[in-house]
Amino acid sequence: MKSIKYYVMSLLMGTLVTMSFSSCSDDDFTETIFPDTEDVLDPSSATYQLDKWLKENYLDVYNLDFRYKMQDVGTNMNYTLVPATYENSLDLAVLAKYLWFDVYAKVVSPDFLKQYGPRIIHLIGSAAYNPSNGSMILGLAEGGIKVSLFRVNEMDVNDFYSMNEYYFKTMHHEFSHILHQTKSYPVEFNALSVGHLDGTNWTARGPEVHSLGFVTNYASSAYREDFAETIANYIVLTDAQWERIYELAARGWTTANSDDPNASYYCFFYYTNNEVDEEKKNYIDESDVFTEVDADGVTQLYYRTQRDSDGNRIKVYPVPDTDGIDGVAYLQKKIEIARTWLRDDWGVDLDALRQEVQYRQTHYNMEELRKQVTDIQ
Amino acid sequence: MKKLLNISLLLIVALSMGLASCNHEEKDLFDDSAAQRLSQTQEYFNDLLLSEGGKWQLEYFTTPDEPGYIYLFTFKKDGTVTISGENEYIGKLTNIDNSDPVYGSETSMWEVISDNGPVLSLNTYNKIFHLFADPYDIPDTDGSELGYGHTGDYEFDLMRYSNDTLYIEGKKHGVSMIMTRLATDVDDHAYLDEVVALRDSFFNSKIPTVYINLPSGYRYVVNGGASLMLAIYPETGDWISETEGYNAVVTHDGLTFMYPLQLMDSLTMTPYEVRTFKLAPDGSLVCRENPEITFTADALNSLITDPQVKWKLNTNKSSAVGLMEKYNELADQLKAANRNNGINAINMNYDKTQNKFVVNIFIKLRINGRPTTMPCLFYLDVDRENKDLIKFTFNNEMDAAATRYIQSYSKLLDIVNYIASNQFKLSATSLLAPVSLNVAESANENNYFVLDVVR
Repeated sequence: MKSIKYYVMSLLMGTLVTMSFSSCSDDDFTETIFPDTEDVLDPSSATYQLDKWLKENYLDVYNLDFRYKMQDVGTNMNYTLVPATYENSLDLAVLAKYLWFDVYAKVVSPDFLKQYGPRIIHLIGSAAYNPSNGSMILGLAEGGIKVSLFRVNEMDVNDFYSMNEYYFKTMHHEFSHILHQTKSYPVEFNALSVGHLDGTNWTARGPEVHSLGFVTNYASSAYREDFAETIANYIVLTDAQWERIYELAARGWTTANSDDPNASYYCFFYYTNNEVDEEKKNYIDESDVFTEVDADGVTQLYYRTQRDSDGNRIKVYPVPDTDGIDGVAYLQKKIEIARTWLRDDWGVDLDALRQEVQYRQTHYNMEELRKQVTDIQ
Repeated sequence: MKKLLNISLLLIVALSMGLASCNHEEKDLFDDSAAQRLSQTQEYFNDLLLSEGGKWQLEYFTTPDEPGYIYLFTFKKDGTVTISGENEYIGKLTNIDNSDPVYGSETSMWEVISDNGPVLSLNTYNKIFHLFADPYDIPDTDGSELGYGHTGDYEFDLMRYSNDTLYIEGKKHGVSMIMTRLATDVDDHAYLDEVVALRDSFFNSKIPTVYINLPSGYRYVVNGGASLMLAIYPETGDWISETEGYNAVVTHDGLTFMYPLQLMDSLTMTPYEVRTFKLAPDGSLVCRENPEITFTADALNSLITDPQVKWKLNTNKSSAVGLMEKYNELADQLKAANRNNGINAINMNYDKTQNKFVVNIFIKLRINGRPTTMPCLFYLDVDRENKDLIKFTFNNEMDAAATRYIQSYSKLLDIVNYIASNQFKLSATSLLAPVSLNVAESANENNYFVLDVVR
């Protein structure tokens, strides 16, 4: 049994040790170590108008830092990247608000993007190339917080299709990532693509991916990209563009060399000299095919530039669809899953969103949008 | 008792810990916090870049695989910077096939930001400058640089400043570079035109080999100067195994290598490290780190007999007395035979197979009524003295055409005899690129002829 003296000494020791630690607690935390400066906009700055507009329209409203002045620490240093031009940054800032933030504010609610929108949009002048596979990144959504938009210096506000492809679609794509990183989408979506993804060679894939139920080749790279691509493309692509995707999705596709991951796929073939023989079968691009309605009202396909030895047109045949996948149905099913998920989990009407975007992306006046910034005194 | 001693010892240790634990306060080392000091440094470099008009020259390097480029910056307080350059890649922005230096200037934004230290960030795209940081394929190369480009930097760690020179380092690729202050009244375009002209005058592809001369007289051979991708090897060394590549930039008043040259004087076994050279009045480049080290072409009396170099008499720049007297007499003699006759040119070169200096007089004759140019070759021996004196000896060695035509046109021999009868003193306006040699009689330097390099 231990003596009382032992306990007294132990208590004393404990007290001393405690004092020794507590003696350090006299630090004064009232002063910041950082310079006592206030971040105010400088009216004499050459970028004052844009900085003020960004503050009033993004920072104050959405708590969003719209970064157009590049700092490479804010990027993946493994990529070689350059800043965006000031002029294109201005254009993209006003367009992003008009075609993205204002759409959600109108169709969903003014608070929706305040709550779920990104906190940083970072503009990058160049694409982020991956030299090993030749791919390039058009956008990144990092942790639901930050969206990086690339290739800003190649932006042409007069080219609606490229604007859609490189920026507007990317905005919706990256925002879809933010949403599904917050609330998971149904696993049945992924089940539609099992066995058909190619995370390595997706860049070599072409329109044949539509027949597998993917809206783009990038969608065929991973489940989450498929989901984001489905939503983004549904919103920004026109009816005519979707009709074309469904048309390609309904076709059969094949390749001359299925072992080559980079081989081209075709949906038409012909026989040399019109001699129906498997050994004389050749595949042909759609651009080399023309259609003609014969006397019986049946549409016939022919090789555009070649004839057989007798001077007859060379007949072209569609490749049979043997992949066992109804591409059109898969695409529509994916859209339906996304539509339901957005409605039930987020209260977002995907079709209303699409309708608003479709209207706005063909009815914007760049000069008027720019004036929001350039008219600032 | 032993237990009490132990406890007392423990108490002393605990007390010591208690006191020692307060000793971490080091606030006396600096007056301000690290963040405040960084902010002050940031402000210092910001003000420095703006001071005295804010105009600077950057000696810009990307990789050791391409030469450097001169860029001029004018920093403004409103956050803009005007960047000017003159190089072939600016020309390629509008004409992909361009290979000549083209001037360009554009304004974008700048900022001194704090990273691990103060960083100059050129943070909006400037097509004149950021083209070296773009990840796109370089148009005039064999391989693909897609994803890399030139790998140039546009953010620079600001390292130190002294004597109007700012030492910076590319943040991503770590290349050390120099910014020097310029006067505000410098005209960017005129200044850069002068840099380009200087580049052409430093190294001339017609003088393919130049030398770095060390204090003892030991030399390094330098090839490829015209491309600014210099191949350097010790003169007594093996050019295959000992050649090292160094890239450089021509500045407004000299030349700077991307990395210091490591040179070894094999005569004295003295090592040298040199990086920057300044243009001297005689056209040579003098090392700033050690003025005894120079960059020149070969001694002029060796250069004139360099088998790689061919010379042509410049009749317009030669004095009327001396060789031109003989030249005109020959022309008169030729014309006396036929008014269409004359002299086409007089070329000189060294024939290393015969170890002779060749004077090649092209005479224009009418042969069977048709104009014909006939080369007449005369072979001379050479004696050199110092670096600039030369004496030729003619022992009546000539080719068959010369043998034939001296019968009709004796003045041919007068030209060769004049060249062989004098000692000549050689001089040039540039010792680094002596593309034009002044060959003056040693006894009377008013009598001279001029030879221009033709290859």
